[in-house]
Amino acid sequence: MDGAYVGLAPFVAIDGLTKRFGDHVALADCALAIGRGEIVTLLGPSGCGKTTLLRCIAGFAEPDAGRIAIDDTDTLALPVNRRPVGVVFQNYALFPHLTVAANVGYGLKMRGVAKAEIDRRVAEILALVSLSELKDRYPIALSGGQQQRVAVARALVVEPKLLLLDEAFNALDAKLRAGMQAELRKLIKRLGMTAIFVTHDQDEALAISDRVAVMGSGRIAQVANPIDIYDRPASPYVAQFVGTSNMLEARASGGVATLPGGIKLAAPISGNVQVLVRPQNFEILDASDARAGWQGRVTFGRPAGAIVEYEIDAADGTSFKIAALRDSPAGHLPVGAKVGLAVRDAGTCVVFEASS
Amino acid sequence: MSGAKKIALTDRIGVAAIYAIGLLSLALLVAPSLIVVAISFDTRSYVSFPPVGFTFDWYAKLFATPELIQAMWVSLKVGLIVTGMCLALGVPTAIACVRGRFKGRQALSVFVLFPHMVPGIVLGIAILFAGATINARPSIGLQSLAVACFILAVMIRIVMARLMRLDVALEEASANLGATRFQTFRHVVLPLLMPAIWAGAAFTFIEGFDNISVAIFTHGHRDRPLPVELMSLVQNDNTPMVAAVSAAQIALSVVILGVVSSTLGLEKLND
Ligand SMILES: Nc1ncnc2c1ncn2[C@@H]1O[C@H](COP(=O)(O)OP(=O)(O)OP(=O)(O)O)[C@@H](O)[C@H]1O
Ligand SMILES: [Mg+2]
Repeated sequence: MDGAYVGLAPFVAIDGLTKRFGDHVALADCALAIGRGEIVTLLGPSGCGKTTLLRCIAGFAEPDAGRIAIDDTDTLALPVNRRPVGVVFQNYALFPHLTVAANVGYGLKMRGVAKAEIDRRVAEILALVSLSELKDRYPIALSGGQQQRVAVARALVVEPKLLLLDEAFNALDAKLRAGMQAELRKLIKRLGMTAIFVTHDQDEALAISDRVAVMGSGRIAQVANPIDIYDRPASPYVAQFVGTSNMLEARASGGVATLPGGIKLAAPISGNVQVLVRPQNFEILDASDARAGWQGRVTFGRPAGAIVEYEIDAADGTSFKIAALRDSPAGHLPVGAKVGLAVRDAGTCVVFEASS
Repeated sequence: MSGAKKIALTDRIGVAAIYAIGLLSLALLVAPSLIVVAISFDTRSYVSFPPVGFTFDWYAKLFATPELIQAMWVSLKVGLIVTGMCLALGVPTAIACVRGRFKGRQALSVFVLFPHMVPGIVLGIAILFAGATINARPSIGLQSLAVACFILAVMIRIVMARLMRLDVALEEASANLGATRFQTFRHVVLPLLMPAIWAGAAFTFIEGFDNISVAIFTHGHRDRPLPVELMSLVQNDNTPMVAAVSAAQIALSVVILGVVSSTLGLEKLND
């Protein structure tokens, strides 16, 4: 329900992971459990510790405390080159002096696999990522998307138990990115591979993963499936990081919080609370409409596909971010228009304790 | 298209000035060598410019002078030994200075450059005296050691520069794919360092072959290297044969740099 890992012993179990650089705490007591065949994304702002967490798993960095187990094996005890982990690096880190085939075959060669067997497996994986024709090219002669597929093939061919991808789509343009995300997700699912993606792009996280772990300043703030992350964020931090949000102040007593306009919300706490209302959960009314909880003025409007995004400032100074369908009556409001606002559906609002 | 890209007059003057400065520098660098080459074909029996005739006589005489041939062999040996020493010491030192994780790494990378900053003559005398205390007399060995000490910094710098530009992620990727540290060195680091290593080898060989400041104090008495032989030649002999020897040496350097740059591409030295 809250998207926590449910099932048998998790395939990847990270516990109490802590990493400091000097007195800067890059990872603070991180815990994450991942099931076999699951795709989890680490999502968070720049500098929150995503790469550090991946580097600890791969063995490029050593945590100060904590435990990482993959398939019931203590991974921290293994040297880098023996960890059952494949990494796709942010800028791919392809070996510039080796051809595509030699790049992909590198891991097998290092393991002493016979030449014929290497050739066979390299051909197989290159076919899988549709790169067979390019096997004799050098990385410099490949496009960004092709380089990424080589990097993925190189990591997959040694059959790791866990695939790690750090900002794997950053170097690609927006259109190619969407295509590669879908393609890579399909490939990973087809192979039954378990994977951790790192990104600071929430659309990417929502598109590619079974569950999302939202990180903030070295901590994992929430782990849940993409829909729950959006609909039921565990904290104001998550609410504000994922999607667009309006945080309204209100008072709660007797298990009920009341918003202007008479909207009543179930509140598990009393006192000052914050209420999350998503942009599409507002109704734009005439300024004189009695149902309106707020009166305001449009200060900005921007069409985005089928919807229009407005900024509306209320008389008390609160600024609202509102979305309306473009072919609705509220779809063409000029800047300066006076409107009334009401919350549509109390059920999709989320109540948090006010952060003093 | 009309008037789309009109270059401002000031820009054109700037470009012209850059070309002029470039050509002038080039001329200053190359002209002395060209004059030496020209003189080496002169028919007169004393050094003077411009030459008045053309002959290969001085080259013939050069190859008929046993001391010069002997000196050339000595310099060749010194060049090879110096190159070997600098490769054996310089490459590992450069790697330690860039990738090492030990206390004093920074200090080491500055320290190894010291011998190159001391004037060659001072270094030569120092090594002569230091050698004397352990009974190491001037010889091909001592000379090679001294020149290697002097030029090691260049090898280290060239390899360090290349290594600093090598993405650490390549080494991490290699380890991640199952390679041991040695395998990573053998299959990733070394091949990518090769252009720098070749360049370093070329420079150290040339230095070993024609260094005089350090060599003059440390060379063996019966094994006079070419530059030393040449200097005494200039003092006693004023024929264009001196120019012929110099021209031969210039030709050797040109050939070495030519081979290095055409097989590796000199531009590769910079990346
Ligand atoms: N080697 C290091 N030495 C010191 N501080 C480091 C080191 N590596 C990372 N840090 C710090 O640790 C924090 C987390 O860094 P990390 O690279 O994990 O962030 P990230 O979430 O991957 O960010 P981004 O999205 O920008 O890649 C940052 O504040 C960073 O400055
Ligand atoms: Mg990062």
